Amino acid sequence: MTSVVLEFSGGLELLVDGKKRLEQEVPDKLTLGGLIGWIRSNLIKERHELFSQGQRIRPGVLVLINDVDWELEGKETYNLSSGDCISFISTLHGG
Amino acid sequence: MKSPWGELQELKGASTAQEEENGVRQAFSNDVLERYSRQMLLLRFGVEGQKRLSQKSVLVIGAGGLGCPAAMYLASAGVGRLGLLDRGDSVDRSNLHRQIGHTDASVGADKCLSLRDSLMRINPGSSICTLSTGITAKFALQLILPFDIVLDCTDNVESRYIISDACAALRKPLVSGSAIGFEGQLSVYCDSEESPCYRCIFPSPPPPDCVGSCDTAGVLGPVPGVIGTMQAVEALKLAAEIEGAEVCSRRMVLYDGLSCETRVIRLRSRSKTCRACGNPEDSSQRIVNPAEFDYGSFTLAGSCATPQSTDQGRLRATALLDKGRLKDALCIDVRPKEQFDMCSIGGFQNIPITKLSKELITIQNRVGDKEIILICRRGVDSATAVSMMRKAGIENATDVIGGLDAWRQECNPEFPTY
Ligand SMILES: [Zn+2]
Repeated sequence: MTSVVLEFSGGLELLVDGKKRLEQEVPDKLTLGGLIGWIRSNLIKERHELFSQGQRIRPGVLVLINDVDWELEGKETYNLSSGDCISFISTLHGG
Repeated sequence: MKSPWGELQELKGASTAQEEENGVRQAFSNDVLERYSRQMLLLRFGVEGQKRLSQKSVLVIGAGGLGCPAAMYLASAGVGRLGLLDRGDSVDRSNLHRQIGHTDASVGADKCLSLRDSLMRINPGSSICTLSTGITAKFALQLILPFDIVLDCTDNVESRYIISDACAALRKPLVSGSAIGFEGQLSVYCDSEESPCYRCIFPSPPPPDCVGSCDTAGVLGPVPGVIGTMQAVEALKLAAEIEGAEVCSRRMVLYDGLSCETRVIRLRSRSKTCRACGNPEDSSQRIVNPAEFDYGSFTLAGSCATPQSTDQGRLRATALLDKGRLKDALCIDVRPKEQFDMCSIGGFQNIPITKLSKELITIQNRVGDKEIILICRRGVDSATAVSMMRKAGIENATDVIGGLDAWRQECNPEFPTY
Protein backbone atom coordinates (compact mmCIF):
# COMPACT_ATOMS: atom_id res chain seq x y z
CA MET A 1 0.00 0.00 0.00
CA THR A 2 1.03 3.60 -0.59
CA SER A 3 0.28 6.22 1.98
CA VAL A 4 -0.96 9.58 0.77
CA VAL A 5 -2.71 12.61 2.20
CA LEU A 6 -6.07 13.50 0.71
CA GLU A 7 -7.67 16.89 1.17
CA PHE A 8 -11.23 17.91 0.36
CA SER A 9 -12.58 21.44 0.45
CA GLY A 10 -15.08 23.88 -1.03
CA GLY A 11 -17.91 21.56 0.03
CA LEU A 12 -16.40 18.29 -1.27
CA GLU A 13 -15.61 17.34 2.32
CA LEU A 14 -19.34 16.73 2.77
CA LEU A 15 -18.98 13.68 0.51
CA VAL A 16 -16.47 12.12 2.93
CA ASP A 17 -18.19 12.63 6.30
CA GLY A 18 -17.03 16.25 6.59
CA LYS A 19 -13.36 15.23 6.75
CA LYS A 20 -11.11 17.88 5.23
CA ARG A 21 -7.90 15.92 5.56
CA LEU A 22 -7.32 12.18 5.50
CA GLU A 23 -4.16 10.17 5.81
CA GLN A 24 -4.97 7.25 3.61
CA GLU A 25 -3.44 3.97 2.52
CA VAL A 26 -4.21 3.37 -1.13
CA PRO A 27 -3.23 0.53 -3.53
CA ASP A 28 0.29 0.70 -4.97
CA LYS A 29 1.08 1.99 -8.45
CA LEU A 30 -2.03 4.11 -8.86
CA THR A 31 -2.21 6.94 -11.33
CA LEU A 32 -4.11 10.02 -10.23
CA GLY A 33 -6.99 8.92 -12.47
CA GLY A 34 -6.89 5.56 -10.69
CA LEU A 35 -6.92 7.32 -7.33
CA ILE A 36 -10.03 9.28 -8.32
CA GLY A 37 -11.79 6.04 -9.22
CA TRP A 38 -10.59 4.44 -5.98
CA ILE A 39 -11.85 7.35 -3.86
CA ARG A 40 -15.19 7.23 -5.65
CA SER A 41 -15.61 3.53 -4.90
CA ASN A 42 -14.09 3.37 -1.44
CA LEU A 43 -14.51 6.68 0.37
CA ILE A 44 -17.65 8.20 -1.09
CA LYS A 45 -20.88 6.66 0.08
CA GLU A 46 -23.50 8.62 -1.83
CA ARG A 47 -23.96 11.28 -4.50
CA HIS A 48 -20.88 9.95 -6.30
CA GLU A 49 -21.60 12.12 -9.32
CA LEU A 50 -20.71 15.20 -7.28
CA PHE A 51 -17.15 13.90 -7.19
CA SER A 52 -16.47 12.21 -10.52
CA GLN A 53 -17.71 10.27 -13.48
CA GLY A 54 -15.55 7.17 -13.05
CA GLN A 55 -11.95 8.40 -13.18
CA ARG A 56 -12.92 11.81 -14.53
CA ILE A 57 -13.24 14.50 -11.91
CA ARG A 58 -16.40 16.57 -12.24
CA PRO A 59 -16.07 20.03 -13.78
CA GLY A 60 -15.53 22.82 -11.27
CA VAL A 61 -13.10 20.84 -9.10
CA LEU A 62 -9.48 21.91 -8.97
CA VAL A 63 -7.05 19.08 -8.34
CA LEU A 64 -3.70 19.84 -6.76
CA ILE A 65 -0.67 17.65 -6.50
CA ASN A 66 1.40 18.88 -3.58
CA ASP A 67 -0.17 22.35 -3.82
CA VAL A 68 0.35 22.65 -7.58
CA ASP A 69 -2.38 22.65 -10.25
CA TRP A 70 -2.45 19.12 -11.72
CA GLU A 71 -2.42 20.55 -15.25
CA LEU A 72 1.25 21.23 -14.65
CA GLU A 73 1.88 17.62 -13.59
CA GLY A 74 0.15 15.48 -16.20
CA LYS A 75 -3.34 15.33 -14.73
CA GLU A 76 -4.86 11.80 -14.57
CA THR A 77 -1.63 10.17 -15.79
CA TYR A 78 0.45 11.35 -12.82
CA ASN A 79 1.92 8.40 -10.90
CA LEU A 80 1.27 8.62 -7.17
CA SER A 81 4.20 8.41 -4.80
CA SER A 82 4.18 7.73 -1.12
CA GLY A 83 3.77 10.96 0.86
CA ASP A 84 1.98 12.86 -1.93
CA CYS A 85 -0.70 15.28 -0.91
CA ILE A 86 -3.63 15.38 -3.32
CA SER A 87 -6.19 18.13 -2.84
CA PHE A 88 -9.68 18.30 -4.33
CA ILE A 89 -11.09 21.80 -4.19
CA SER A 90 -14.53 22.68 -5.40
CA THR A 91 -14.73 26.22 -6.73
CA LEU A 92 -16.99 28.56 -4.88
CA HIS A 93 -19.46 30.87 -6.54
CA GLY A 94 -21.18 32.71 -3.73
CA GLY A 95 -20.64 36.35 -3.07
CA MET B 1 -23.12 51.12 -30.10
CA LYS B 2 -23.82 53.73 -27.43
CA SER B 3 -22.32 52.91 -24.06
CA PRO B 4 -24.85 51.67 -21.51
CA TRP B 5 -23.05 53.98 -19.08
CA GLY B 6 -24.03 57.03 -21.14
CA GLU B 7 -21.58 59.91 -21.37
CA LEU B 8 -18.78 59.38 -18.85
CA GLN B 9 -16.76 62.42 -17.96
CA GLU B 10 -13.07 62.24 -18.60
CA LEU B 11 -10.99 61.28 -15.58
CA LYS B 12 -9.56 64.41 -14.08
CA GLY B 13 -7.23 62.88 -11.54
CA ALA B 14 -6.77 64.21 -8.03
CA SER B 15 -6.79 67.99 -7.95
CA THR B 16 -3.25 69.25 -8.00
CA ALA B 17 -2.65 72.49 -6.16
CA GLN B 18 -1.02 75.34 -8.01
CA GLU B 19 2.67 75.25 -7.59
CA GLU B 20 4.47 77.80 -5.54
CA GLU B 21 1.44 79.54 -4.13
CA ASN B 22 2.47 81.70 -1.18
CA GLY B 23 5.88 80.12 -1.42
CA VAL B 24 4.51 76.61 -0.79
CA ARG B 25 5.01 73.73 -3.21
CA GLN B 26 2.58 70.86 -2.78
CA ALA B 27 1.58 67.90 -4.94
CA PHE B 28 -2.13 67.99 -4.21
CA SER B 29 -4.68 70.19 -2.53
CA ASN B 30 -4.67 70.16 1.26
CA ASP B 31 -7.79 68.03 1.36
CA VAL B 32 -6.30 65.36 -0.92
CA LEU B 33 -3.01 65.35 0.98
CA GLU B 34 -4.78 64.91 4.26
CA ARG B 35 -7.26 62.29 3.11
CA TYR B 36 -4.77 59.98 1.41
CA SER B 37 -1.65 60.76 3.42
CA ARG B 38 -1.39 57.38 5.11
CA GLN B 39 -1.15 55.48 1.85
CA MET B 40 1.04 58.13 0.22
CA LEU B 41 3.46 57.72 3.11
CA LEU B 42 4.05 54.17 1.90
CA LEU B 43 7.46 53.70 0.37
CA ARG B 44 6.21 52.17 -2.87
CA PHE B 45 3.06 54.24 -3.16
CA GLY B 46 3.87 57.91 -2.73
CA VAL B 47 2.51 60.87 -4.65
CA GLU B 48 3.00 59.09 -7.96
CA GLY B 49 0.92 56.12 -6.83
CA GLN B 50 -1.88 58.44 -5.76
CA LYS B 51 -1.78 60.22 -9.11
CA ARG B 52 -2.00 56.95 -11.02
CA LEU B 53 -4.82 55.73 -8.78
CA SER B 54 -6.79 58.91 -9.34
CA GLN B 55 -6.57 58.43 -13.10
CA LYS B 56 -7.86 54.87 -13.08
CA SER B 57 -11.37 53.52 -13.26
CA VAL B 58 -12.50 50.34 -11.54
CA LEU B 59 -15.73 48.42 -12.10
CA VAL B 60 -17.20 46.46 -9.19
CA ILE B 61 -19.76 43.92 -10.40
CA GLY B 62 -22.05 42.81 -7.57
CA ALA B 63 -22.95 45.05 -4.63
CA GLY B 64 -23.18 42.22 -2.09
CA GLY B 65 -20.92 40.55 0.45
CA LEU B 66 -17.78 40.89 -1.69
CA GLY B 67 -18.67 44.08 -3.53
CA CYS B 68 -19.48 46.13 -0.42
CA PRO B 69 -16.09 45.94 1.30
CA ALA B 70 -14.22 46.04 -2.03
CA ALA B 71 -16.01 49.20 -3.17
CA MET B 72 -15.72 50.84 0.25
CA TYR B 73 -11.94 50.46 0.28
CA LEU B 74 -11.58 51.52 -3.34
CA ALA B 75 -13.70 54.64 -2.89
CA SER B 76 -11.89 55.61 0.28
CA ALA B 77 -8.51 55.14 -1.41
CA GLY B 78 -9.37 57.70 -4.09
CA VAL B 79 -9.82 55.62 -7.24
CA GLY B 80 -10.52 58.01 -10.12
CA ARG B 81 -13.84 56.48 -11.06
CA LEU B 82 -15.78 53.63 -9.55
CA GLY B 83 -18.50 51.82 -11.45
CA LEU B 84 -21.08 49.77 -9.56
CA LEU B 85 -23.09 47.17 -11.39
CA ASP B 86 -25.72 45.01 -9.72
CA ARG B 87 -28.71 43.23 -11.18
CA GLY B 88 -31.20 45.52 -9.51
CA ASP B 89 -31.75 43.53 -6.33
CA SER B 90 -33.04 45.50 -3.41
CA VAL B 91 -31.43 45.33 0.02
CA ASP B 92 -32.88 42.54 2.14
CA ARG B 93 -32.54 42.39 5.92
CA SER B 94 -30.86 38.97 5.58
CA ASN B 95 -28.07 40.66 3.55
CA LEU B 96 -26.95 42.99 6.30
CA HIS B 97 -24.76 40.61 8.31
CA ARG B 98 -22.27 40.54 5.45
CA GLN B 99 -23.14 43.31 2.98
CA ILE B 100 -21.74 46.04 5.17
CA GLY B 101 -22.22 48.87 2.69
CA HIS B 102 -25.98 48.70 3.32
CA THR B 103 -27.89 49.68 6.45
CA ASP B 104 -31.15 48.74 8.06
CA ALA B 105 -32.56 52.04 6.83
CA SER B 106 -31.86 51.04 3.22
CA VAL B 107 -33.76 47.72 3.37
CA GLY B 108 -35.89 47.67 0.23
CA ALA B 109 -33.69 50.18 -1.61
CA ASP B 110 -31.77 49.45 -4.80
CA LYS B 111 -28.41 47.92 -3.87
CA CYS B 112 -26.32 50.05 -6.24
CA LEU B 113 -27.85 53.27 -4.94
CA SER B 114 -27.64 52.18 -1.31
CA LEU B 115 -23.96 51.31 -1.69
CA ARG B 116 -23.26 54.52 -3.57
CA ASP B 117 -24.75 56.52 -0.70
CA SER B 118 -22.44 54.75 1.75
CA LEU B 119 -19.41 55.43 -0.43
CA MET B 120 -20.29 59.10 -0.79
CA ARG B 121 -20.57 59.38 2.99
CA ILE B 122 -17.07 57.95 3.33
CA ASN B 123 -15.52 59.99 0.54
CA PRO B 124 -17.73 62.81 -0.78
CA GLY B 125 -15.27 63.56 -3.57
CA SER B 126 -15.73 60.12 -5.17
CA SER B 127 -16.80 59.81 -8.77
CA ILE B 128 -19.26 56.92 -8.81
CA CYS B 129 -21.48 55.68 -11.61
CA THR B 130 -24.07 52.97 -11.11
CA LEU B 131 -26.21 50.72 -13.28
CA SER B 132 -28.84 48.43 -11.82
CA THR B 133 -28.93 46.10 -14.80
CA GLY B 134 -26.38 43.49 -13.85
CA ILE B 135 -23.88 42.04 -16.26
CA THR B 136 -25.49 40.59 -19.36
CA ALA B 137 -23.82 38.72 -22.18
CA LYS B 138 -25.37 41.09 -24.70
CA PHE B 139 -23.79 44.24 -23.26
CA ALA B 140 -20.79 42.72 -21.46
CA LEU B 141 -18.16 44.31 -23.69
CA GLN B 142 -19.78 47.75 -23.61
CA LEU B 143 -20.28 47.58 -19.85
CA ILE B 144 -16.64 46.71 -19.19
CA LEU B 145 -14.97 48.77 -21.93
CA PRO B 146 -14.77 52.14 -20.09
CA PHE B 147 -12.94 50.62 -17.10
CA ASP B 148 -9.30 49.77 -16.46
CA ILE B 149 -9.85 47.05 -13.86
CA VAL B 150 -12.81 44.76 -13.15
CA LEU B 151 -13.82 43.08 -9.89
CA ASP B 152 -16.02 40.01 -10.08
CA CYS B 153 -18.06 40.13 -6.88
CA THR B 154 -21.03 38.20 -8.27
CA ASP B 155 -22.64 35.10 -6.87
CA ASN B 156 -23.36 32.87 -9.85
CA VAL B 157 -21.60 30.73 -12.43
CA GLU B 158 -23.12 32.35 -15.50
CA SER B 159 -21.97 35.87 -14.57
CA ARG B 160 -18.49 34.59 -13.80
CA TYR B 161 -18.08 33.18 -17.31
CA ILE B 162 -19.60 36.28 -18.97
CA ILE B 163 -17.32 38.63 -17.04
CA SER B 164 -14.21 36.56 -17.65
CA ASP B 165 -14.92 36.13 -21.36
CA ALA B 166 -15.43 39.88 -21.75
CA CYS B 167 -12.24 40.66 -19.80
CA ALA B 168 -10.36 38.10 -21.90
CA ALA B 169 -11.64 39.69 -25.11
CA LEU B 170 -10.69 43.19 -23.94
CA ARG B 171 -7.57 42.07 -22.00
CA LYS B 172 -8.74 43.85 -18.84
CA PRO B 173 -7.36 42.63 -15.52
CA LEU B 174 -10.06 40.78 -13.59
CA VAL B 175 -9.93 40.40 -9.81
CA SER B 176 -12.19 37.50 -8.99
CA GLY B 177 -13.47 36.61 -5.53
CA SER B 178 -15.99 34.15 -4.15
CA ALA B 179 -17.14 32.99 -0.76
CA ILE B 180 -19.60 30.65 0.84
CA GLY B 181 -19.93 29.02 4.23
CA PHE B 182 -16.60 29.53 5.99
CA GLU B 183 -14.51 29.49 2.82
CA GLY B 184 -13.34 32.02 0.26
CA GLN B 185 -11.24 32.04 -2.91
CA LEU B 186 -9.40 34.80 -4.74
CA SER B 187 -7.51 35.00 -8.02
CA VAL B 188 -6.57 37.59 -10.64
CA TYR B 189 -7.08 36.77 -14.31
CA CYS B 190 -6.06 38.33 -17.65
CA ASP B 191 -3.62 40.84 -16.13
CA SER B 192 -0.64 39.91 -18.31
CA GLU B 193 0.28 37.97 -21.42
CA GLU B 194 0.82 34.71 -19.52
CA SER B 195 -2.06 35.17 -17.15
CA PRO B 196 -4.96 32.74 -17.63
CA CYS B 197 -8.62 33.66 -17.73
CA TYR B 198 -11.30 31.98 -15.62
CA ARG B 199 -12.16 29.72 -18.54
CA CYS B 200 -8.53 28.55 -18.86
CA ILE B 201 -8.82 27.17 -15.33
CA PHE B 202 -12.43 26.02 -15.58
CA PRO B 203 -13.16 25.11 -19.22
CA SER B 204 -16.44 23.45 -18.23
CA PRO B 205 -18.94 24.71 -15.67
CA PRO B 206 -19.94 22.64 -12.66
CA PRO B 207 -23.29 20.86 -12.85
CA PRO B 208 -25.89 23.33 -11.53
CA ASP B 209 -26.85 21.13 -8.58
CA CYS B 210 -23.27 21.27 -7.28
CA VAL B 211 -23.38 25.03 -6.92
CA GLY B 212 -24.25 26.37 -3.50
CA SER B 213 -25.35 29.92 -2.81
CA CYS B 214 -25.10 32.03 0.32
CA ASP B 215 -28.91 32.10 0.43
CA THR B 216 -29.20 28.36 0.74
CA ALA B 217 -25.89 27.14 2.17
CA GLY B 218 -25.29 30.08 4.51
CA VAL B 219 -22.18 32.19 4.97
CA LEU B 220 -20.32 33.71 7.90
CA GLY B 221 -20.46 37.47 7.28
CA PRO B 222 -16.78 38.39 7.57
CA VAL B 223 -15.68 35.59 5.22
CA PRO B 224 -16.79 37.44 2.05
CA GLY B 225 -15.48 40.50 3.90
CA VAL B 226 -11.99 38.97 3.97
CA ILE B 227 -12.11 38.09 0.28
CA GLY B 228 -13.71 41.39 -0.85
CA THR B 229 -11.05 43.24 1.11
CA MET B 230 -8.33 41.20 -0.58
CA GLN B 231 -9.90 42.04 -3.95
CA ALA B 232 -9.52 45.72 -3.05
CA VAL B 233 -5.84 45.15 -2.22
CA GLU B 234 -5.23 43.50 -5.59
CA ALA B 235 -7.13 46.25 -7.43
CA LEU B 236 -5.15 48.97 -5.67
CA LYS B 237 -1.87 47.25 -6.56
CA LEU B 238 -2.94 47.18 -10.21
CA ALA B 239 -4.39 50.70 -10.28
CA ALA B 240 -1.56 52.47 -8.48
CA GLU B 241 1.00 50.27 -10.28
CA ILE B 242 2.78 49.75 -7.00
CA GLU B 243 6.42 48.95 -7.62
CA GLY B 244 7.44 45.42 -6.72
CA ALA B 245 3.85 44.31 -6.08
CA GLU B 246 3.05 40.78 -7.15
CA VAL B 247 -0.52 40.41 -8.26
CA CYS B 248 -2.30 37.16 -7.41
CA SER B 249 -2.39 35.81 -10.95
CA ARG B 250 -1.54 32.24 -11.90
CA ARG B 251 -2.20 31.67 -8.22
CA MET B 252 -5.29 31.25 -6.12
CA VAL B 253 -5.75 32.11 -2.48
CA LEU B 254 -7.87 29.67 -0.51
CA TYR B 255 -9.12 30.92 2.82
CA ASP B 256 -10.79 28.61 5.30
CA GLY B 257 -12.20 30.61 8.20
CA LEU B 258 -13.19 27.51 10.13
CA SER B 259 -9.63 26.27 10.54
CA CYS B 260 -8.08 29.72 10.02
CA GLU B 261 -5.89 28.36 7.27
CA THR B 262 -4.83 30.27 4.19
CA ARG B 263 -3.15 28.59 1.25
CA VAL B 264 -1.86 29.95 -1.99
CA ILE B 265 -1.83 27.44 -4.82
CA ARG B 266 -0.02 27.65 -8.12
CA LEU B 267 -2.26 27.61 -11.20
CA ARG B 268 -1.57 26.80 -14.83
CA SER B 269 -0.66 29.54 -17.32
CA ARG B 270 -2.90 30.82 -20.05
CA SER B 271 -4.16 27.97 -22.20
CA LYS B 272 -3.27 28.15 -25.90
CA THR B 273 -6.52 26.43 -26.78
CA CYS B 274 -8.80 28.38 -24.44
CA ARG B 275 -12.07 29.34 -26.11
CA ALA B 276 -11.93 32.84 -24.64
CA CYS B 277 -8.28 33.85 -24.57
CA GLY B 278 -6.52 31.33 -26.80
CA ASN B 279 -6.91 29.80 -30.24
CA PRO B 280 -9.02 26.65 -30.09
CA GLU B 281 -8.27 24.07 -32.79
CA ASP B 282 -11.77 24.59 -34.17
CA SER B 283 -11.73 28.34 -34.64
CA SER B 284 -15.54 28.52 -34.67
CA GLN B 285 -15.33 27.64 -30.95
CA ARG B 286 -13.60 30.92 -30.22
CA ILE B 287 -15.70 33.30 -28.13
CA VAL B 288 -15.00 36.73 -29.57
CA ASN B 289 -17.95 38.53 -28.02
CA PRO B 290 -19.99 37.15 -25.11
CA ALA B 291 -23.10 38.50 -26.86
CA GLU B 292 -22.80 35.62 -29.33
CA PHE B 293 -22.45 32.86 -26.75
CA ASP B 294 -25.33 30.98 -25.13
CA TYR B 295 -24.41 31.05 -21.42
CA GLY B 296 -27.75 29.66 -20.34
CA SER B 297 -27.31 26.28 -22.04
CA PHE B 298 -23.58 26.28 -21.30
CA THR B 299 -24.04 26.51 -17.54
CA LEU B 300 -27.02 24.15 -17.51
CA ALA B 301 -25.11 21.42 -19.34
CA GLY B 302 -24.17 18.41 -17.26
CA SER B 303 -26.96 18.76 -14.74
CA CYS B 304 -27.18 15.63 -12.67
CA ALA B 305 -30.40 16.68 -10.96
CA THR B 306 -33.40 14.43 -11.22
CA PRO B 307 -35.47 15.97 -13.97
CA GLN B 308 -38.74 17.24 -12.63
CA SER B 309 -41.29 15.80 -14.95
CA THR B 310 -44.60 17.21 -13.78
CA ASP B 311 -46.28 18.36 -10.65
CA GLN B 312 -48.65 15.43 -10.94
CA GLY B 313 -49.25 13.73 -7.60
CA ARG B 314 -47.59 16.58 -5.69
CA LEU B 315 -49.44 18.62 -3.10
CA ARG B 316 -50.32 22.27 -3.10
CA ALA B 317 -49.25 23.98 0.11
CA THR B 318 -52.93 24.44 0.97
CA ALA B 319 -53.22 20.67 1.45
CA LEU B 320 -51.28 21.15 4.69
CA LEU B 321 -54.22 23.10 6.13
CA ASP B 322 -55.95 19.73 6.51
CA LYS B 323 -54.82 18.98 10.09
CA GLY B 324 -56.32 15.51 10.06
CA ARG B 325 -54.34 14.52 6.99
CA LEU B 326 -51.12 15.77 8.58
CA LYS B 327 -51.86 13.86 11.78
CA ASP B 328 -52.30 10.59 9.94
CA ALA B 329 -49.26 11.04 7.73
CA LEU B 330 -45.55 10.72 8.34
CA CYS B 331 -44.39 14.30 7.79
CA ILE B 332 -40.73 14.82 6.96
CA ASP B 333 -38.91 18.09 6.46
CA VAL B 334 -35.77 17.35 4.39
CA ARG B 335 -33.98 20.67 4.90
CA PRO B 336 -30.60 20.81 6.68
CA LYS B 337 -30.90 20.70 10.48
CA GLU B 338 -29.73 24.34 10.82
CA GLN B 339 -32.70 25.52 8.78
CA PHE B 340 -35.17 23.19 10.49
CA ASP B 341 -34.04 24.47 13.89
CA MET B 342 -34.75 28.06 12.81
CA CYS B 343 -38.38 27.40 11.92
CA SER B 344 -40.60 24.53 10.82
CA ILE B 345 -44.22 23.50 10.58
CA GLY B 346 -45.50 21.73 13.71
CA GLY B 347 -45.81 17.96 13.26
CA PHE B 348 -42.92 17.70 10.83
CA GLN B 349 -39.80 15.82 11.83
CA ASN B 350 -36.42 16.53 10.33
CA ILE B 351 -34.48 14.10 8.16
CA PRO B 352 -32.05 16.15 6.05
CA ILE B 353 -31.88 14.99 2.44
CA THR B 354 -28.18 14.17 2.89
CA LYS B 355 -29.10 11.62 5.59
CA LEU B 356 -32.19 10.29 3.86
CA SER B 357 -30.68 7.30 2.08
CA LYS B 358 -29.47 5.89 5.42
CA GLU B 359 -32.96 6.23 6.89
CA LEU B 360 -34.91 4.68 4.04
CA ILE B 361 -35.13 1.22 5.58
CA THR B 362 -36.26 2.58 8.94
CA ILE B 363 -38.86 4.69 7.21
CA GLN B 364 -40.08 1.74 5.18
CA ASN B 365 -40.50 -0.39 8.31
CA ARG B 366 -42.24 2.37 10.23
CA VAL B 367 -44.56 3.84 7.68
CA GLY B 368 -46.89 0.92 6.91
CA ASP B 369 -49.60 2.19 4.61
CA LYS B 370 -49.42 5.75 5.97
CA GLU B 371 -48.95 8.63 3.58
CA ILE B 372 -45.52 10.32 3.62
CA ILE B 373 -45.51 14.09 3.12
CA LEU B 374 -42.15 15.67 2.34
CA ILE B 375 -41.33 19.34 2.42
CA CYS B 376 -38.26 21.53 1.94
CA ARG B 377 -37.56 25.22 1.47
CA ARG B 378 -38.60 25.61 -2.17
CA GLY B 379 -39.78 22.22 -3.36
CA VAL B 380 -36.65 21.03 -5.16
CA ASP B 381 -35.00 18.76 -2.59
CA SER B 382 -38.35 17.34 -1.54
CA ALA B 383 -39.01 16.22 -5.13
CA THR B 384 -35.59 14.56 -5.19
CA ALA B 385 -36.47 12.88 -1.89
CA VAL B 386 -39.72 11.53 -3.35
CA SER B 387 -37.85 9.95 -6.25
CA MET B 388 -35.25 8.48 -3.86
CA MET B 389 -38.10 6.88 -1.93
CA ARG B 390 -39.79 5.57 -5.06
CA LYS B 391 -36.51 3.95 -6.11
CA ALA B 392 -36.34 2.29 -2.69
CA GLY B 393 -39.85 0.92 -3.18
CA ILE B 394 -41.69 3.42 -0.99
CA GLU B 395 -44.67 4.34 -3.12
CA ASN B 396 -46.92 6.46 -0.95
CA ALA B 397 -44.63 9.51 -0.67
CA THR B 398 -45.50 12.93 -1.99
CA ASP B 399 -44.20 16.45 -1.51
CA VAL B 400 -45.29 20.06 -1.46
CA ILE B 401 -44.93 22.18 -4.60
CA GLY B 402 -42.92 25.30 -3.78
CA GLY B 403 -42.11 24.03 -0.28
CA LEU B 404 -42.19 26.35 2.71
CA ASP B 405 -42.03 29.42 0.47
CA ALA B 406 -45.39 28.40 -0.99
CA TRP B 407 -46.71 27.64 2.52
CA ARG B 408 -45.84 31.19 3.57
CA GLN B 409 -47.35 32.77 0.47
CA GLU B 410 -50.51 30.73 0.25
CA CYS B 411 -51.35 29.75 3.82
CA ASN B 412 -49.37 31.37 6.58
CA PRO B 413 -47.75 34.79 6.01
CA GLU B 414 -46.48 34.64 9.61
CA PHE B 415 -44.05 31.86 8.71
CA PRO B 416 -40.55 33.42 8.97
CA THR B 417 -38.58 34.47 5.92
CA TYR B 418 -34.92 33.60 6.14
ZN1 LIG C 1 -8.52 31.59 -21.17
